[in-house]
Amino acid sequence: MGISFIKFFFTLSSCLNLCLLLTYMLKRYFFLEIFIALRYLRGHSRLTILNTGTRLSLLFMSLMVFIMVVVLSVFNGFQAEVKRSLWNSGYHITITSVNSQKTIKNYDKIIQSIYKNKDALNNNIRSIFPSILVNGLLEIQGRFEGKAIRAIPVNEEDLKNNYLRDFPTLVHFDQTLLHNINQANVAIIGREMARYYGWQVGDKITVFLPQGGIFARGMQIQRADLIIAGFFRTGFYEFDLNLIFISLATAQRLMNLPNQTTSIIVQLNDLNNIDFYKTKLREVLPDNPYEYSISTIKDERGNFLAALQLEKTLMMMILGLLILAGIAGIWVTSYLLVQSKRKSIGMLRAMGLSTKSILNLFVSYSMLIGFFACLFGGTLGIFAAQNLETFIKFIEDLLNQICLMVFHQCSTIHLIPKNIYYFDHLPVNTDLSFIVSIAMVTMILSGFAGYFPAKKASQLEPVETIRND
Amino acid sequence: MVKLENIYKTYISEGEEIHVLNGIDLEVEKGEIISIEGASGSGKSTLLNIIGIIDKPDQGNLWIDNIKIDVNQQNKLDEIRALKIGFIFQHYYLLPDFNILENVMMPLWIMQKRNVIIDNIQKQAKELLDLVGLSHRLYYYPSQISGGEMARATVARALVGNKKLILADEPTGNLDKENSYKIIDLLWNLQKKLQFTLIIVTHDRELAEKIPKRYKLDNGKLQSIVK
Repeated sequence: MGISFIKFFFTLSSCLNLCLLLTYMLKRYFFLEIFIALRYLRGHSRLTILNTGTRLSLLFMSLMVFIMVVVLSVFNGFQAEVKRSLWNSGYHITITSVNSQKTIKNYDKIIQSIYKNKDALNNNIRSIFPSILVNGLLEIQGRFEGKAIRAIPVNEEDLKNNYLRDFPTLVHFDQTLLHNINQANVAIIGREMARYYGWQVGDKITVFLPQGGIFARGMQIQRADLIIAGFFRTGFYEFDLNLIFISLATAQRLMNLPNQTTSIIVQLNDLNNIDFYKTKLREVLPDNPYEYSISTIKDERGNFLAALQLEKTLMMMILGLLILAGIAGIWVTSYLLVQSKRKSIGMLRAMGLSTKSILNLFVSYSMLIGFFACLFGGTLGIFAAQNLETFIKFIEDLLNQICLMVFHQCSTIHLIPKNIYYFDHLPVNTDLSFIVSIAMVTMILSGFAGYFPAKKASQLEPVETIRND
Repeated sequence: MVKLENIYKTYISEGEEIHVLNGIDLEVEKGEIISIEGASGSGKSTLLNIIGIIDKPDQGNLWIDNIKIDVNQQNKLDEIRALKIGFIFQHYYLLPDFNILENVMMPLWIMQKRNVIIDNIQKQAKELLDLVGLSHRLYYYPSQISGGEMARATVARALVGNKKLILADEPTGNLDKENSYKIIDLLWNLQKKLQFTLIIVTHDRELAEKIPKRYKLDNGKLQSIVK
């Protein structure tokens, strides 16, 4: 608390000092140029807010910034939400035997070894536990559907405190059934699975689990009747539809795997640098570390996250093109301004204003358009992004009303169907640092757009502009 | 204050060379008033622009306030214009985006940008505007005032910052007779009071006859007019 306050205080004071220095420098060195540029922005008359060209340019550019802020806020939010769901629903690092047929018998020794070396892992280990993950067959009225069954240990002490360590969040459960999770055949299923099959807590489901090896007649399987003790929700639709949780003790009993497990799960506090921990873990494994295969959630879901990132990059590129169109608008406006201010430029030069100042003046003009566009577009964008759900709801209601008025009967319009994204709300993440970056880039590009007309203006000879009369 | 030595200037128009200035020699003392007269297109304005170092001669030397002008030193030229020279143009060239007070303050701001310490810029500008009779138009924009008032504002703008050399190119060219007299009287009175050097380009006979030292530009040569 104390350190973060000091950090915040120093950041704030540095920002203030920087602003003061910037203001001083602007006033000391560019006051006149900015003053003239502001007047050119305003136009001839005190009665109008801006001159027409500037107004159009500013409007267009503000719109571009607005769109960029809203779209990227939604994209950021969407990406963060998906990532969060994924992180929450999956297990971070999984240690399995290199031979996938082989179970791990000395899991206690491995867990102890990792715990002993937790300093080498930067104390980033949240928990380590053995886990069995198998594919089972779920019987639904004579049909079979493949489902993943994940077994993790349940501590009796935790159960007494109504706490299920390392399980996903339970959204609905029966306390009495849960208390018997180690002794009885009790399962926790995903909320989506329950919805899909219409199951309630207390219902009995039948699964077929592999047991032992493969024989001449086929694989030996074990039928198990499980009672649903609760529903979990990870936020990741695939998991919530296809995963069944049972306790490790139950799984070992049902599958005849006493003191054995198929994998060891390592949960981390911080998922950054997950690859580092993967490498480090191998170094601390006992005996021959190459008997084990180590995979991370990033390895498993890397493609999905990369696809998300690619979508965001593509969207940024498309929106970047829009910004470029806005910049082109500023270039045209600056160019037209230089043309219309030829005589003023000539007179300012005759009065002794340097070519450098003329250049700065017109670059300032373009940057000011960029600045105000970022200010208006950015502020509106943040406001719109924060209230996007309300706006969408309003538009949905409006469309539904119009639909009813015109056709008298129509199905409810949902602009963003919840079942596709599987979010309770529209995820929006207005990252201020990201918006500031957009603003900076826009301002620099605006200045760049104004540079060439400004260069042209600075090269005007005063006598050329005056002689025309 | 101003010394010209062997100034030449040639324009090329439609492939034909026009020798506008053909070896001009001129010396103007501090506080002197001179006029340059001549037919339209004789090169009067070109000569004035060269003196005001907003145009470059093809050949010859120029001194302003005993400083030899090097036309290749752009920054130095800007500085001399900012600190020593005031312009009065026929079309005024007041900045339309600024009010009259700001138009008059502009040369002072430019001087300040060149690290000249100026106290109370606004007060100085207001005093000059009061001197030219425009204290009631301080916050008006150029488009909101008459031609005569614009001419007076231009005079104030040229004089602000104690300019030593005032170059006036047809200062009464756009004015009716009444306003012309007013501007002439104003210039004369101000010159007596502030003792600046005034070079006037004109073809206004009435204005020219009031000037003690007159020159005529003819065939690119400057000739003194003896009364």
